[in-house]
Amino acid sequence: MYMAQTALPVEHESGDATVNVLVVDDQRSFRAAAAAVIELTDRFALVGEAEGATDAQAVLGTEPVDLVLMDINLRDESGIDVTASLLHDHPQLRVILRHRPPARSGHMRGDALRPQGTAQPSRTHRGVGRARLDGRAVKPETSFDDPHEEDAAGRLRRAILVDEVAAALGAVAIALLYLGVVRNLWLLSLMIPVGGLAVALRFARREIDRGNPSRAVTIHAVGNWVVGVSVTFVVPFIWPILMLTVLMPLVLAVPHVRRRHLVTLIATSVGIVVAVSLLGLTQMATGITDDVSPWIRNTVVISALAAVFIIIVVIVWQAHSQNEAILLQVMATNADLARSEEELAHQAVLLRDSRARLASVADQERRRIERDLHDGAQQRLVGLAVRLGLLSTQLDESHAATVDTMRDEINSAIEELRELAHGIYPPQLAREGLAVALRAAARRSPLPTRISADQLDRYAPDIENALYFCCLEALQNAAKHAGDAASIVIDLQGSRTTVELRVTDDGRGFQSAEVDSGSGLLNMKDRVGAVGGTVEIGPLDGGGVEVRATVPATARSSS
Amino acid sequence: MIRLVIVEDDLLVREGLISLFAAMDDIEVVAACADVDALNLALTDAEPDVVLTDIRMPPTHTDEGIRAAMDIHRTRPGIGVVVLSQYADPEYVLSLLDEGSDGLGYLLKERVSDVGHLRRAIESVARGESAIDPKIIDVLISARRRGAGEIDRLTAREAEVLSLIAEGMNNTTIAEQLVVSDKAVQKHINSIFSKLDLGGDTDVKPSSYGSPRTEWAAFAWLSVPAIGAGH
Repeated sequence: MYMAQTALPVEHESGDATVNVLVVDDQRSFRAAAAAVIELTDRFALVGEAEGATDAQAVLGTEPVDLVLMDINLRDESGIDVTASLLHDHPQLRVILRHRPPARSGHMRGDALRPQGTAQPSRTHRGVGRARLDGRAVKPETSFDDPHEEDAAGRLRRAILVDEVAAALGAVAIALLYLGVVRNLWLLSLMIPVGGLAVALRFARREIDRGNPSRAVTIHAVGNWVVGVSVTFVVPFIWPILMLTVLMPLVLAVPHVRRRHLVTLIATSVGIVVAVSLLGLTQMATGITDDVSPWIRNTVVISALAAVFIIIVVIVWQAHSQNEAILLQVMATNADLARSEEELAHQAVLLRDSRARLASVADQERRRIERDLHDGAQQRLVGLAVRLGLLSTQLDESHAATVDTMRDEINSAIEELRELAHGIYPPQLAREGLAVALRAAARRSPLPTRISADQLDRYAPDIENALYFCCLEALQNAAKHAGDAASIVIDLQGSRTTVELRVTDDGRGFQSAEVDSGSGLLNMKDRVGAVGGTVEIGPLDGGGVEVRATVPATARSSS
Repeated sequence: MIRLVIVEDDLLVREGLISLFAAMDDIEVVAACADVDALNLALTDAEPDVVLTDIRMPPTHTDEGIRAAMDIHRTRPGIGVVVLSQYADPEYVLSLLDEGSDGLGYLLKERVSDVGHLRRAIESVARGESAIDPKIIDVLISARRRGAGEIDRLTAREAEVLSLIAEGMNNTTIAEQLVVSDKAVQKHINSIFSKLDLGGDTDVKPSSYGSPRTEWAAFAWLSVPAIGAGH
């Protein structure tokens, strides 16, 4: 959509004032779609809809309007003129003019409705993808920019126009026939249904313009049926041609009516078809029968056939171009969808990468802290303890005892520091791999813990870290929930493409409420999810709980 | 006289150790190194009997000490090595086990302030025996105990004897430590070996106790995760 702003953009008000919007458009479908979008957009409210200048002025007289969304091409007037007159009376109004190219309108974006202060940075993808990416409940916009609804109406209108012209010409032909050759009043009376059809189709076209194609379709059908029956009655020998006239409305109606309505149309068509064929075969009263002179008969048949043929060609042509338009639209939508999906996939990859990066950075930090503790604080304490040990050998017994106590305290501090450092990052994990590190973890577990990790290969550090910390979390959970009598089994299995960690206990299990509220499961899922794996947790048949983490991985080397 | 090389990158600890050994008549510090390169020089120049090395050293500060110990054990089997470690996890000891056990020791770092203990470990490896920090044996035994395995079948005294064996003590030292007779110690050992099925292996007979192999067998048995413990 091309946008032109004739007035200042709506300024970003300091508060959360609502912007009242008036939509001016001669297309009902667009008004409905715009209303839906405005409803879904924060801080905007729809206060009225108008088809043209008169309606718009009426709304402006009663409602407080801040913003007008104006179609440039109104049916009988120019949106620019209407805007000028509106601004003349209401200078405070802001107006957005929208112009829709006739062939294929663009997509209107929710962004256009935002005040400038809150406008999002320009984004190129269209509505469908945006709705998905934002998670916002904007429906895909087929009902919104519907070029085919408009075009379909246009085609119906043209087909009916052709029919209308044909009916008018038919009326003239009947008059000429009567005046020139066949002085038959029955024939003259056909002026009424045929002329009437022309008039009715004029009304039908107006209904299309008002956005009521289904009513137009009904008028068209009933008109054609009346003509079909009445012409058959008077001129029975052309009934096979009239059959086409009777069935044609059905073909035109298909895109414009609901299924139930269509069923009614079909049923009535069948009835009319039967009536026309019976009439054509049995009617003998009007005097215009097979007995009329052959050239008249042939002329009537040929001209009727020509008229019907032209109408059918028009319909077929229209239908083809409609199909083409639909095809183009579908292709465009598909391209949009593909683009959005690509973008989504790309975002997902970025997200996963950044998650993995965050986890990896955190692990490196843990390792650094562990090293600092071992090489800094712990070394210093060891140095101190050595000196105290040395000192105590040079002191008399009572002083030596005091110094030895101090030394013991330092040794306790060293031990505590060691456990702390191990908890932050176990040095064996990087050095010896998952199996060895988890064996040490199993040994530290407060519940009896067995581990089976025979012949597990080495994997990328991120994967080993993720599974290690996931397992620690599972061990802690089990210690909390399984009860003192429980024991735990850790099972590590590596295949060509995955590593699987299973931590099972035979305890009393835990309530799902505990699972839901605890951060443990979330931590496990975060850790393992960051390297593309999954975590499942669930009760076992005989009581107890199983935690199963699976990570896609290729082994680096055998440990 | 034991000729000792100290390898320790922390100046404070290194100087502390030097002063500590300066007070001992039977141990002479012939070189003090800050990294593995200096150690390699000292090995050829200083002709040491025992190397006392930190486990974490430049460049990676992880397990350079273990690798140095294995290196020395392979190329100069006559030199004993005691690794001083910050880590109480038995896995490090097990990686030493790959190289055999004679003349190798593994002590926790804080043990350096316990002069008697440090001296005993150095003397053990100088004799070609092994020495393992009791704290690590504790870790193994308590893990075993939680696993409710065979260890429960041992009496308290037998468990104590087992941990001393694993530490690398011989019958006499154990008897001294527990203030019992050598004979009593031997009786405990027989009982332990039959209860733990260690005697099933004819190579490891109670009478062969005292060879490094037996100590390592005990240690290895302890360090095997409790998976085989009848669960």
